[in-house]
Amino acid sequence: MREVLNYFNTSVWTIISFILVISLILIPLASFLSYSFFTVDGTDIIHEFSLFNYKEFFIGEIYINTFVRTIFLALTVMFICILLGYPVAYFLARYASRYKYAILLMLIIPLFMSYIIKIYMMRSILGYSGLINKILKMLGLIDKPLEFFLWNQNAVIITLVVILLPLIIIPTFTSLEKIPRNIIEASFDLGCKPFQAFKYVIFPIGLPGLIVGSIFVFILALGDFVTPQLVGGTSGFTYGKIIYSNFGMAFNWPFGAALASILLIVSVIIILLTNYLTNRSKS
Amino acid sequence: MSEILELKNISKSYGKTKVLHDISLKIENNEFFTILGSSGSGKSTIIRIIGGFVKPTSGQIIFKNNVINEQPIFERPFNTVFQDYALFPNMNVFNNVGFGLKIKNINKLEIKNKVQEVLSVVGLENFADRMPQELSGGQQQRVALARTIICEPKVILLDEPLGALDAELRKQMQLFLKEIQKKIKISFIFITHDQEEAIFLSDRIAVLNNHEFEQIGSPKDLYYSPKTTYMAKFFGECNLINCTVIDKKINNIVVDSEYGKFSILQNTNVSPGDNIIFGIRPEEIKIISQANTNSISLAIKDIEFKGSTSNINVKTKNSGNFVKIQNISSNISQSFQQGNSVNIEFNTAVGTIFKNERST
Repeated sequence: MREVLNYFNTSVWTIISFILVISLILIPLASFLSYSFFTVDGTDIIHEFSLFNYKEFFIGEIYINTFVRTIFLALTVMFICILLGYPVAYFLARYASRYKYAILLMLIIPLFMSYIIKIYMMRSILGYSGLINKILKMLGLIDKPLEFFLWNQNAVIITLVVILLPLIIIPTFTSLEKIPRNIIEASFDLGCKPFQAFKYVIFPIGLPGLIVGSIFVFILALGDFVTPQLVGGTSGFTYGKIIYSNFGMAFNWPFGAALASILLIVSVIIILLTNYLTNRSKS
Repeated sequence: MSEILELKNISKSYGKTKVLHDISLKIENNEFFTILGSSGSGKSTIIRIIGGFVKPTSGQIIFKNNVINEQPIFERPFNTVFQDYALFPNMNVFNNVGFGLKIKNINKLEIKNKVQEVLSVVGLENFADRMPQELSGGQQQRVALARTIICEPKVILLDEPLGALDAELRKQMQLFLKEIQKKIKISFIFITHDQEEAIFLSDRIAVLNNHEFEQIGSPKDLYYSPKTTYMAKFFGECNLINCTVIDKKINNIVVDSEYGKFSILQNTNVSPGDNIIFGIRPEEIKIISQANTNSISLAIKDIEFKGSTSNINVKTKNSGNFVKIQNISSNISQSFQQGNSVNIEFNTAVGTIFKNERST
């Protein structure tokens, strides 16, 4: 009887989890995807299969160009986050023994803050009369405000880095911290100088965390549309912003869906590729 | 045999907590040296100091007449087999074993040959492609050992390497370690809390008690000539009898104890009135049928049946303390019963006299 109940229990839970995944993820995705094959006439959506939107994407140079530029933007954000985040994670995991969780908490707190508020905050720091320019002016280093920081791509990159940095630090920290001390000791014991221990043991073992963090940062930077909207000005036009404007202002849902589907497919390919490459480098 | 490594007056404390106090020892070439101590006695700290992971608070580490206190870990000619193996999880067996050579920039072909050779020494020729996670505890142990052997260190430090293995495997690995140490001719410093393991494996044993070495010597030395009552108790079993010296002649010390008077047939510098502790191993006591001048009559407290032999504990009529007698053929012990009065005789020539010690 108990076995039957157990069996019943497990199968019920399996069914529930399947239903949840299907209804909350797969059905919306499918409907989303199907929309990308429709077209619009004025404000009406024509529910007929057509590859028009995809054709549009590949013909209209601006879309591909923006797409490629946005990928580079996301890669830049990702690499800056790696360069800034890895040392922080490494330091926290290896040296900040007593304070590491306190420092980590300080890094996590901004994640609870509203994303929009953080962008506005960055605006008030980077702006023409923002903190940085004011300080530089006060020090007499500049006469008129620097335009380097706001209403351009730099501003988008800086803001995204500030917002996304914790997302790379946390998984990297976690995987570095998990490395048992005696494995690092063993590398020294077998003749490694500190840099060699890092290169052959610490870095490779901690790599999965860094990869997870990097993918987080890359995907989020790739699809972001609020940051370019608020700090990017006209030259900070990104792919996410095009998708956004097709759903909002242009009211062209099918084209927006097509652009978003392309983004989704590219993101999935990137994730699968990284996964494949890490697995291969392991063996 | 020549001496290869020496620790001189090594002490280590963390703040006010003392971990090691005035540790001195000499390791000889090709020797299997065991540091035996209960958990928390600081035994691991000793090899961590030798390996370079821990700096001693005071004292010197001397290798071939050079003080190497300041030498960094990666330059020391010692390698460690860690307690839980510490194999690199990102490398297969081949790369784990070859790691030490790779770091030294030795060419790939030579590494390959050496790894094959060492893997065959530890009996893992066919496991080169496995990942550590795919190996059993005993196999991981062998990889950890192979990884150190290949570096040709002067001393291999083994930090309780058999602690995590089950009893059967542990026996096998003991045999394996002993054989391999003889084969590769490298000094081993082996840490354990298991006396039997220490006796089986070691050329010499150092017993660590209360942050200091209690005694260092061959297993036989430690068994037959314990220097302290702690050693007598810790290393095998021992009856410790509080005695008062009554009379002393050459090779005959007459003492009185709670069990009665007897003579100790030894020559030690004691005088009448001294309080001593006489330690005698349970197997050095006989039950005799006829009382003689040096026998004591005691009552049987209980009989512990162990199969072919039995232990018998005997006591006086009105005391809780008892003397343990071991290795009595069960054929004989069957004829006794609890409460029976028996005559026992100590083989006092092999007992040990402890002076100036309080009984425990």
